[in-house]
Amino acid sequence: MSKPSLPCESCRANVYPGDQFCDACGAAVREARMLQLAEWERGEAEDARALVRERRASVRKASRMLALLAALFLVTGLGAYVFQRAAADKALRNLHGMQDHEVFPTPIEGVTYSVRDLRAKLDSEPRQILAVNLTLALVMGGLFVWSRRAAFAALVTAIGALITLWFVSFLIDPATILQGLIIKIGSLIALSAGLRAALAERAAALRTEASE
Amino acid sequence: MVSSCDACGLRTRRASARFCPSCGGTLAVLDEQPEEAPPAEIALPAVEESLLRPVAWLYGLFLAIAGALVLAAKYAPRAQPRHEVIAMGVEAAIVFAFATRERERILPLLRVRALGARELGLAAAAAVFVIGFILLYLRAFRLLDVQEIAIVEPYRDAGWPVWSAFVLLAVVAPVVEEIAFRGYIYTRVARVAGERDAMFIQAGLFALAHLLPMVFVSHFVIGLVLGALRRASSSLLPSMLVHATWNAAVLGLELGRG
Repeated sequence: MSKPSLPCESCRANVYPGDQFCDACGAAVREARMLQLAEWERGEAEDARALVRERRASVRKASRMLALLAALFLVTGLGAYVFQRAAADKALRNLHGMQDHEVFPTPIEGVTYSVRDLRAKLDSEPRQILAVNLTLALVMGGLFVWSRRAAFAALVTAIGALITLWFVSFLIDPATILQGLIIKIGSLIALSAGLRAALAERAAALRTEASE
Repeated sequence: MVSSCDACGLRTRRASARFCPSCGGTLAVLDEQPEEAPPAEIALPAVEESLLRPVAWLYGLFLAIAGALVLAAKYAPRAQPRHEVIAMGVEAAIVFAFATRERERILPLLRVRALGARELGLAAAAAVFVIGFILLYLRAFRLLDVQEIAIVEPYRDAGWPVWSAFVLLAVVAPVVEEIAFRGYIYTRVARVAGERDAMFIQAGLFALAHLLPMVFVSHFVIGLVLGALRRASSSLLPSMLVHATWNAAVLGLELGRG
């Protein structure tokens, strides 16, 4: 941000806040112009502070979004586990009368299973879902902690991780792209806004460093 | 340049000032030395965005290729080796195109002459660590009863010789991936976020780009090791060597299991 200035009334050179005389021609600066410059400088400083506050708030919001995502993965993981466990137990009870070596008559997702494989699959699936969600909750929690120290780096990694996760889910089952669409869009907006703010703040810090 | 006011003693750094802005007295030049030039590269947000946008593109293209491979394996499992060769060719072409745009920074990282005993020693230590880590990781897989991924098997099933898998996965892939992740992505991100953050970011992206949840931890840790190696040696060759050793070890272990 450049320092506010007004042209000198006698030579048109720049006069800055705090100047009582023009540094190019030595003419006195009228008091009204001095007040105008001082007022202007205060306004710019205030704007700059507001901008910094806005940027920090945006970074904090993105950081909180990571904590929220961690909590969401934790809760949905636990919820899905309980739900899937109950469903799997029910299905296992239905298989009760069948022998391990028999073939289950109806194919599941295009694959025909033996009863033994189907039992193993039903038994392990809820655990796998829980493990995936807990891992994601841990990753997001880790990114949240990291974002407190290095906001930019953590947010870049978080955006990359989320996009990859949604992409993988989409490959496995295209319908998942529409699940939790509002959370997906909302988190992406918050994270990228935080990323931009973190970038801008870092650039501003670099410029102050360079000018000092 | 520093000037001082004869009348009130005020000092100022304004280059063109002839009169004191405080009392209107005449200024005398105290110090003729020119101002220090500002640092050559102060990155502004726009500059940083232009540095990072191609990184996002490169990563997106990696994701797209990996995704296409996943789909291809689902619908035509028999042709997997051919698909992997095509995907690797496309990936190499893309990485080459990106890297040429950053050649003045990447070419010096590929110079053989810059390698000394220190760099080779670091590479050897990293290779020992990586192989030990992979052995432990595979053991953990067995303890947790996770099915290991067969890498060479599809090549054999399709009637391809075993060496073709080694050429593709232990020679070509390490070169392409090192230039992409430790070369292009690391260099660009480091210019915006500093070397330490760049190390973590490239390791994260490297792990994610493989699209396999079960290798995420191992690839992140090894990605960090390779990034640290690139940082310590200012060269891509040690990390390429370690990466090749790692991939060859994984293939060798699979062959050893029979």
